[in-house]
Amino acid sequence: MDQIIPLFRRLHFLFGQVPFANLLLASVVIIIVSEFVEHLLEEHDYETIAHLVKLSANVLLVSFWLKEAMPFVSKLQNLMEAFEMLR
Amino acid sequence: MKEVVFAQLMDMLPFFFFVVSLMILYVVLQMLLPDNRYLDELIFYACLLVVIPELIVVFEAVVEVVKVLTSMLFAFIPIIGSILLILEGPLSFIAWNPIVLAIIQFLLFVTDKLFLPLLLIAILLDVWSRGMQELPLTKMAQLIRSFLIISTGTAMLVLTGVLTTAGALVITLNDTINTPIKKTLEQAIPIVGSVLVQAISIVKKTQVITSSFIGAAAIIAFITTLSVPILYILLKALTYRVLSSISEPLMPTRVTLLFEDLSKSLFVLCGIATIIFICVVVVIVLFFAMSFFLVGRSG
Repeated sequence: MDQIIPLFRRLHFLFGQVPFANLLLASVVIIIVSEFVEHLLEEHDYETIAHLVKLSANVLLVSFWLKEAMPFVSKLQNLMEAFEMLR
Repeated sequence: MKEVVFAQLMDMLPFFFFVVSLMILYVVLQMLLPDNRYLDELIFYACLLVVIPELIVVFEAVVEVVKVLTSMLFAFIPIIGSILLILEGPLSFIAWNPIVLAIIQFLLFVTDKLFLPLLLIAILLDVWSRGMQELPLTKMAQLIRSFLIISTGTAMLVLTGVLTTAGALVITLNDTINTPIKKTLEQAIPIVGSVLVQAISIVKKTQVITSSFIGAAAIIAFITTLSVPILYILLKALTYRVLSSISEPLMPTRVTLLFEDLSKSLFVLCGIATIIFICVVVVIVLFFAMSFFLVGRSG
């Protein structure tokens, strides 16, 4: 962790302008942390809790990306209404 | 004119830069998480979210142009029709046929109600089949796209045929000079090259007959202004092509294929926009010619 967080800070500094790069970096941090915790729990035979950690990480990722994707879905809907494809 | 084109080019640069930086970021992250299936998914969706707004902007622009044109034509047709009745004599030597107007209106109607929605469906199918690789619908998207290519080609053929047999564009140019350019264009631009070449020759012929009565400067200004959207779409499609070729060694295959499909769809959109462009040029030239004759007659 001591090395990973400065690395991601530097990557954020480099790619901060790019849209969705920050989201991607945050997702990767979540994946790394969740995998770490998962392995730790599995080592101690807490497999159900490890599964739960994985599930919660997935839910977090999906909610992040859905929040970003919603404006485009509504834009697409407007476009389809312009074509009179939706009634 | 130069500023307009340059601004469009400058608009494309940040997009290009963003996608290339996403590729670099993907390569860096892949070193941290080798062979992670989440990472592939995430980079795919990031690229999708960068690309889709661009596509939506292009589509909105084209839809707006078509809407404006259809309403403009509805306003113009009574005027043009009445002038046609008044000026039967003087106009007979360029022999503008009313059927040109009917065909233009029909083409705009078909573009608005059939071509653009079908193209949107094709793009959605492409995105679907790259997102859900277990349930690919690429054949369907390809079918729709090839249908659109064939229809745009046919529409262009019909327009050329009507315009030349109606006598408006029978003046022939010396084609020996620009034939190599046409051939190069046809081969260089993948799908709609021949449509574009047809458009260029139609516009050039129109320019020759109209420059005698409205002046070359006005018509050149019109044509360049109208062709900016086409150039913009073409530029965008070529950018996608370049991105797909750059991303081949770096990104997952599905991202490359997505860019390639989107560039194909944008080339088809470019063909459709060319047809609209020809319609506008013909109507405007018709209107100018008529007003010239009307003014000439009263004064």
